[in-house]
Amino acid sequence: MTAASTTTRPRQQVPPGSSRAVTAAQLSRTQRILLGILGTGSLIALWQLGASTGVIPPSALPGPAVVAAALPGVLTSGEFLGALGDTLLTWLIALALGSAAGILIGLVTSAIPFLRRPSMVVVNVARAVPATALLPIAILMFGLATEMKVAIAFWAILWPIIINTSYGVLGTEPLRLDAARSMRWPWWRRQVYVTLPSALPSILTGVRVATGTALVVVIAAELLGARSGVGTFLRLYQQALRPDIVYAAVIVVGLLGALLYTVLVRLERRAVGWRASA
Amino acid sequence: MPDPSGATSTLTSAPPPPPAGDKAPTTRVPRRKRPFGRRLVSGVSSLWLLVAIAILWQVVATLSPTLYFPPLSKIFVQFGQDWFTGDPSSLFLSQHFFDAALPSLRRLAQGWGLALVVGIPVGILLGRSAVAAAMYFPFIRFWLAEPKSAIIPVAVQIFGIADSMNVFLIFVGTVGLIIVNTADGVAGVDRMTLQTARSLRISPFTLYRRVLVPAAMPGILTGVRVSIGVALILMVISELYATTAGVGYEILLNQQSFKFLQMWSAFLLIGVISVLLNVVLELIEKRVLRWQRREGLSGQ
Repeated sequence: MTAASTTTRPRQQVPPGSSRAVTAAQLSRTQRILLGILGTGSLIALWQLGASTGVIPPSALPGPAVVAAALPGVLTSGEFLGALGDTLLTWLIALALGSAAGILIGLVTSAIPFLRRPSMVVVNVARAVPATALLPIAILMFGLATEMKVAIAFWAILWPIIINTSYGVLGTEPLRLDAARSMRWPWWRRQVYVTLPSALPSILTGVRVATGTALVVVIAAELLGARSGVGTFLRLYQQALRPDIVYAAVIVVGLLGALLYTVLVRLERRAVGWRASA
Repeated sequence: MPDPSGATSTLTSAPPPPPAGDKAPTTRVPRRKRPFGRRLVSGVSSLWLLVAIAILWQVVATLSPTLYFPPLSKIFVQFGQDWFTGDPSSLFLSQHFFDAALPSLRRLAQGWGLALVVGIPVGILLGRSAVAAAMYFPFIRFWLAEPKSAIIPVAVQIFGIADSMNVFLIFVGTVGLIIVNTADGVAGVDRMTLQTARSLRISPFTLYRRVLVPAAMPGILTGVRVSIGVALILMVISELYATTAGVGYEILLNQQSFKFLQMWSAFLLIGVISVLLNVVLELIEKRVLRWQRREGLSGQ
């Protein structure tokens, strides 16, 4: 399903990692888990090999053992956990605000015919400049505190969510709308009970893609100026020449990102489980 | 931007999710382009909101001048001065453009090009072999979930402040997306197609060249298109973090010396570059996937 749906909608945001088609059916669950462990293990072995033969200089990338030794320290350090909490809170606020605004704008602009295409033009112009390029102006406007991070992440995710929402709305089955109209449902009722549910899968895809983008942007903002957060932590320890701690933190952040992504996919599947066939 | 392929009346710019394949049998009549005049009118009429916002910006910025948001007209003038004062022989691009934007574009081309060269073959491999996919997808999924901006300190750690740092970052940031989308495309190739090819006893090389890669092309191109956006973002962030030349560096420099007009003109340049890249990719995609549209398969 994933491959087909990504190809029929050439301009829509595609969630990364939708690789179910690849592993489906041919292998059992245990086989897949074992192979996964084997594959990941082989990559770590390669890393160890590079580190112990000196191909990878330890100042650039310390061996897996060294990084693993730094992991418990990072995971229990109040400094890292505080920074992580700060980043996640910022991320959550930006995501909530950005989704709410994006879905609302997307619904309104695509429900009103004379706004449809003009608003898409504006959206495409606005998202042409990567949000991270606007960081300097965000810092000027909002300073170095949480507001700045939220603002820049909000800007980054607003447009993709608007786009996905309008795709969803425009894809509403016309027959259903006709049915609702023939029952003389008022406009708002058609929007809430027909359009919104049919747009939901596409909206949720947009939100899922946005979670990744928001995290990237929040951390970028922290690297480039903000006073607190994981990005600041990483910058600090890179400058203090502690690559082991930097790598350990990067791994933790990645695992956390993967966990969040998995949770979202689960939630999404539950929310639109009624859409059985697709 | 009106999309000439979507001829259905109201949805011209956004083909809706139900695939065109549903209607294919009835709409096989060759589609006629709408007359030029009408296309022009609808194109202009879809710009009114953008124009309204631009006018609003201009009016507000002129009436209550703030340092950070100069009037749009001045930004455009600055944009022309900054980047397009060169000779006709260099396509009117100024020396400043070659000094500031070219390093960025070169790094983008190197990093992203390398990601394509590595990612597409690896993706094909993972799409063909369920075992290889099961082995390496856990790591790739972790990698996709890793916020790429967190890798910047690592890249600086490895390469120092050099071009190779930006190239490396763009490469590692985009290669995963290309791998996953290619693998998806390859794994999604219709089994019947493969069985037919096998029963014709075509050689493995011909199988890849004539059957697999063309059939997987939509997936591959999706990866290409999604990854260029990410590549642009990483290009800019890495330059904001640490470099000595490039568009991102230009933005930072102008911000720090309070030259806000120049800063906005650099924003505009990035926007123009990103739009141009997307338009080119879209054209390539349309050209390459022509067969698909013609047969109304729509990747079904």
